[in-house]
Amino acid sequence: MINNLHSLLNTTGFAHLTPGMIIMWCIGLILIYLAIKKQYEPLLLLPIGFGILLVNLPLSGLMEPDVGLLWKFYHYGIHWEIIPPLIFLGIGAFTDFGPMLANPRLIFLGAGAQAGVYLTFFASHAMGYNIMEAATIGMIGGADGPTTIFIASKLAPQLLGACAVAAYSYMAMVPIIQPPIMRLMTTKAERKIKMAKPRPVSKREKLLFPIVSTFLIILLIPASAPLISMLMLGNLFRESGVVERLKGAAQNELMNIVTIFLGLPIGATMHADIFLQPKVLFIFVLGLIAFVLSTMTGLLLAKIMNVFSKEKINPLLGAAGVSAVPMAARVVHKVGIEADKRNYLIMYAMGPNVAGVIGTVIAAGIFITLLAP
Amino acid sequence: MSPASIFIQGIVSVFFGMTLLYLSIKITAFFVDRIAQKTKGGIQDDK
Repeated sequence: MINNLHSLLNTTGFAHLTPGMIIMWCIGLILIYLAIKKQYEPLLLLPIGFGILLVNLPLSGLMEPDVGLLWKFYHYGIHWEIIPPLIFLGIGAFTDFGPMLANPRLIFLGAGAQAGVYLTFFASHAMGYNIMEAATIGMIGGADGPTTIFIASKLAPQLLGACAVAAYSYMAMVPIIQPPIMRLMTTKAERKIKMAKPRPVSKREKLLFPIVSTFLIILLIPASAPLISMLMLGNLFRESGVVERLKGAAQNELMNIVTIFLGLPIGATMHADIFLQPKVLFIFVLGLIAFVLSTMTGLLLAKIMNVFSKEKINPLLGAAGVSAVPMAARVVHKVGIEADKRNYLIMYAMGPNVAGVIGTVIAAGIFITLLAP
Repeated sequence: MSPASIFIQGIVSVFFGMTLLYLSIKITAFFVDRIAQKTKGGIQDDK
């Protein structure tokens, strides 16, 4: 009788619980709490949190190769590199490149912020991560979730969950992380600099941009093709004005569906045995460093450009070079308004902000070209 | 490949890519303006 009860107990998950799983439940519940209560990137953190709970329920088999439901989502969605490009299709349909086209020199601020990616890559490697892991960790500094996931799936799948959660968590915390750095690295007089009126951008230019840039970027860095092609196709849907249904689908239905299938399997990669290792947990520290460095290099580049330029740039715009769209641009606007109530920077900040998206994709493409097996 | 060379190649490539993008925007804007001016001129001529 006791033996039967013991066998019965062994068939349940209770007998296979480990302390690590319970810790992961707490982490999953914290993410769900942050998503619901604090509204920190709820579209991603909610399914990621739930995915963490699911994969840490013993015997559920949801991540069992070839069989588990979440394994199939992961394998066919992320490992096959389908979902991140589809997210980029939606981002392209949402993005107005007008502010960047109106003030093209601000593009370089989007490149400046990528220096933080490479500095973190260098630091991570020096701390003992292998070169592919270091590249994936550095990518967190680009503040672009889908790109981080894309590169992690290619170079360091074992770090996917931690890097994705770090990227999305810090993106949600841009209003907390960036302002102190911005105030520290700029004087009040610099923060008061008013930008020159941008030139008008014609519809024809907006229409040509996704086509021209697709050619140019893919010819230069072919490895960036999956992301940049979808980004620009989405943007072409938007700017063409003749495929409203496709634009709407990319912005809404498709984006919502792929967001579900992105978040859940990311959470499911965070099993206690994989996640609760000092090396993985330290990614959150390095991710924060990556964010800080990217903000600093963006600001620094804006200041350097001011040395050589007659028409001064408000250096705060450099902080918008990280591609957390539109959060980073809003933060720039907010900090600018603190210095001068009549200085509206939001439209200018959107330029480097969307340039940052392109810069991050280029940076990822370079890592893949140089490192992918 | 050493991390230092990836670091340098990475930064140089990102800036090179963005420079090309900058130039392409400038060139596109230039030609679009030219076309717009010609079109405008054509309409004026017709008048």
